[in-house]
Amino acid sequence: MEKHFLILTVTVPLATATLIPLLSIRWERAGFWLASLALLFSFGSALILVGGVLVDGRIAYHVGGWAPPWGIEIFLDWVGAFFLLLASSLSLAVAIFSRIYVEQNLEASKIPLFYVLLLLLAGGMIGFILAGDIFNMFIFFEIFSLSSYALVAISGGLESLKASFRYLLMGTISSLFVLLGIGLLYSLTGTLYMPLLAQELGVLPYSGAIRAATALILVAFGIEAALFPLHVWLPGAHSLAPSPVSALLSGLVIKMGVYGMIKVLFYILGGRGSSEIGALFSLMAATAIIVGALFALRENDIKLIFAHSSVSQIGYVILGIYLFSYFGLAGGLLQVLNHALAKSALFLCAGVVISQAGFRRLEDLRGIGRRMPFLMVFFTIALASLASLPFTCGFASKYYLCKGAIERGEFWLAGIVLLGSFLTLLYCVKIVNYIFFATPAVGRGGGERSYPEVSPWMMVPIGVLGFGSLLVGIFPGLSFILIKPAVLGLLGMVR
Amino acid sequence: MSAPIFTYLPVLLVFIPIILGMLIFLVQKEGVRIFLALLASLIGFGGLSWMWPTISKGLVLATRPIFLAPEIFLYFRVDALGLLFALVSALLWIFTVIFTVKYMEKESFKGRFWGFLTLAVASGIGVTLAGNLITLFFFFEMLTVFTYPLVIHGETGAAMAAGRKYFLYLFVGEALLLFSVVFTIFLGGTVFDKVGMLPTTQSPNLLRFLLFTFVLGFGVKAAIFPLHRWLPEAAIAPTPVTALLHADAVVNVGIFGLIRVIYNVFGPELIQSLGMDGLLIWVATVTMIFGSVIALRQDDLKRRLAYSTVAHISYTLLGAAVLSASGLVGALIHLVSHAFMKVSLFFCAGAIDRGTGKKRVSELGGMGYRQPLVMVAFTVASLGLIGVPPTLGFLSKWYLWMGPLEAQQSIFLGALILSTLLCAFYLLPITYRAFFKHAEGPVERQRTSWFYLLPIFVGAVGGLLLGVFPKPFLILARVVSESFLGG
Repeated sequence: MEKHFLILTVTVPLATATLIPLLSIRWERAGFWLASLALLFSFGSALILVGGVLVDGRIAYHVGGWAPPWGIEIFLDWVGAFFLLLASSLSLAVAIFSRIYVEQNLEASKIPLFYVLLLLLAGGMIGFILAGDIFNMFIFFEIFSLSSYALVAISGGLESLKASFRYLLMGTISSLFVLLGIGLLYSLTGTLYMPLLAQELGVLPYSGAIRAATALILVAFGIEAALFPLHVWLPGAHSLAPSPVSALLSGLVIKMGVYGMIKVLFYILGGRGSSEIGALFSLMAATAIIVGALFALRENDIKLIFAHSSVSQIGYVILGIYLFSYFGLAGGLLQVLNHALAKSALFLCAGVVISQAGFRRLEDLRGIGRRMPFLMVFFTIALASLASLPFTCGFASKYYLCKGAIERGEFWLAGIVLLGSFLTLLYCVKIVNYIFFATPAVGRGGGERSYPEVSPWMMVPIGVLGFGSLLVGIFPGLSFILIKPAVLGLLGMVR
Repeated sequence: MSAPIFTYLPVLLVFIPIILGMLIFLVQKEGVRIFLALLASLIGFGGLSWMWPTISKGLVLATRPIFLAPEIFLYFRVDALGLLFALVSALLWIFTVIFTVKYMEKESFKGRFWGFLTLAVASGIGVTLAGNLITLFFFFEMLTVFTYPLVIHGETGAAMAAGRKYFLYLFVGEALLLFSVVFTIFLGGTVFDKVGMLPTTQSPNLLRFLLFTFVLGFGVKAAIFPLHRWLPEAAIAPTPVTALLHADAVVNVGIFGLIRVIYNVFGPELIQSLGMDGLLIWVATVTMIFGSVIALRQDDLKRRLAYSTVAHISYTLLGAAVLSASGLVGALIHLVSHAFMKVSLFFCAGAIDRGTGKKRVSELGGMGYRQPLVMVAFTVASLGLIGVPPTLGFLSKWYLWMGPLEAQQSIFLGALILSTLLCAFYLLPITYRAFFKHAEGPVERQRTSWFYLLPIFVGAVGGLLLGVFPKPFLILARVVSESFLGG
């Protein structure tokens, strides 16, 4: 029964997206309500589906009743369940948060468009997670990429248009590479269905063509994941997009690149060539961790700090995956969860500050912790999690990454992990110093700045993310309900 | 070692004060905050004293492991070493709270101060009661985090600079420490239930490297040379915080970690076979002499006391590193004596500062007339720190001197004696100046609040009384040395 939700969880957001422009003509808030309802539905069905995975391990749906290799299959396994749960819950939180934010910050005519794009983004990501063959993966990849370019540009300023264009350029290269890689794989094996593809590739010698295809697809997903040095589009796009969009881009969209890499490395290649790929990509990830953190340390604009920090944090995820070991993968997936919750909470908080108070430079944030205490408590929880302090999810993920690196005898990678979290701590403390331990900034009238009340539509999503962060931080073991079988499943695919 | 007695009391002892500390942030009334802070310290001390009879018989109390994630679990295990450190922290905590009531009366952001003070000391006690490396690391890092807002409490440029230094030093140390912890767990040890948890079959160089990172990691907090720079800088913080740093928790916890590493992680035999005991002893000796010499040259009273801490904490390291029974007993007793005396000295410095605004040693002329009781206590505490009989400091030095003799390394005995002389040189002139030099300008007698005098006298007289009746701590120290070095 629950397998029908597989197709519904993708199609409902996509179909609703087409309804919004129509209904918005008559009904002003149609965008918000329809988008929230559709994403609520997706979230609900994601819960049902995860329940199904907990029971069966893998659930699949054959579109039109045609079984693969002829028909299209969409399926969900442990890894997918982990990502699906994240994608559907975060999209819902962001949609709810957007209600007030969008009304305050976008022209009224763009609001329906915003929700259309949001739904396409969410639906695209969910489809990408569920796709059973690589061509459908590519299609959904395009859907969510295109909508994210548009979302970055939606506020219409020159800077955000430039950022969006840069993102578009890199993104187009990325899609092109994916397509080329898929073409190569298809010409080698004659199939696009992943299990079959893996089977066919398994009997072929590890030739230059397979290597080329792998390289193309991995680099493409590396661009999407903003892996150093392919990250140049990220700081601009993530910092200039509207804050809820930044939350989604940093929290989820870059993780889709990671998910794509996992699919290629494990589901298709079965861990083949892991040593040479691993060496290169872990080097890139290590550089990303350090360089991203250094850039974040240098910045003064709060959203730019978070954007650079995403480059650094995604480095941890990718490092974990390319360690190809239990602890490495577990640490990487835990870091996905940690960063998704923490970074989207941070961007949403930044959104509140920017939207209510109208500034984003650190100097302007002086003493804001005394004015918006509750918001800033969640903000600090998220920062602590990012900085991997004890009793946060970040600690557990850094611990496992460190352990994974030491197990492989790569002490320097363990050192990089720790150096990176030290640098992260530095820029987090820098922010905390401004927020809590500085005299409040003086407003235009000479007195202290006043801060309007924060609407519950904004506070509730932030609160939920903050509490989620706290919960999986104190009990990271909870996430191992999904992570452990996911990692074991991935390692089981390694031949 | 016998099997531990099962109890969840240590969890409560750590987490109830932490929860109370968090509640303080929500409270607006100063009276309620003080009540909560005092309650937290009393709960801590009460619970720990209740464990004393059991632990002093050589038994061990432990919780079950509380798993947070695979391999990451909280586990509390109270042995004599942990209880000794925890008792010192908890006892001085009560008096730090009393001192703070008056000292911080006119400061702003008191809610924050009370909250973080409570959280910090509770985390410090968490470190001492930790039963495995992860728990130890958790509370160790929490202590650093919660102390940071206290160090920068003034929010002035100088305070922020001190905070930055504090932060850089301690968190680099913690990164190294986390590496060592993960590496040790990788090698197969995490629970402190035996002497030497590492497999001796590992390559010696790898183990030396591990010991090195451990020493750097804990050494930053224990302020061993040349990692000590943050400690004198942090003297800019309010006096209760300096007490916290120097006597209640922070520095103590650093040296506590080193003792755990020497005895529980590596074990005396492994340390000796690696030939690393010599290195530790030399590090301690250099720090001891260096700290004392620098202290001589400081005019700022709190900075002079801070460098004195650098020197005295290394006595403890030296005593622990000579790997002899007397040395270890002396090290532990010295830690207790130092904590009592140093808390008293710092509180004196704070009381002088609040009463007269004098911060420099050179300005202290006539202070013996202005604040006689404070200066009397200061003198008693100085004598205790120097080790004049019958203070606890004398007892600890006695054992400490026996240590190198037992281990036949008498050159370090010379270093200890030299350092003691230097200690007299940098402390006694203060007393001399206060009582026998005239002040510049008019001098009038001042009434010092009992909120100051009580904690000051508890430290000084407590050190004196413990010298005569050393049983509570001496028994614990003996149990520690028996369990680690076999009597």
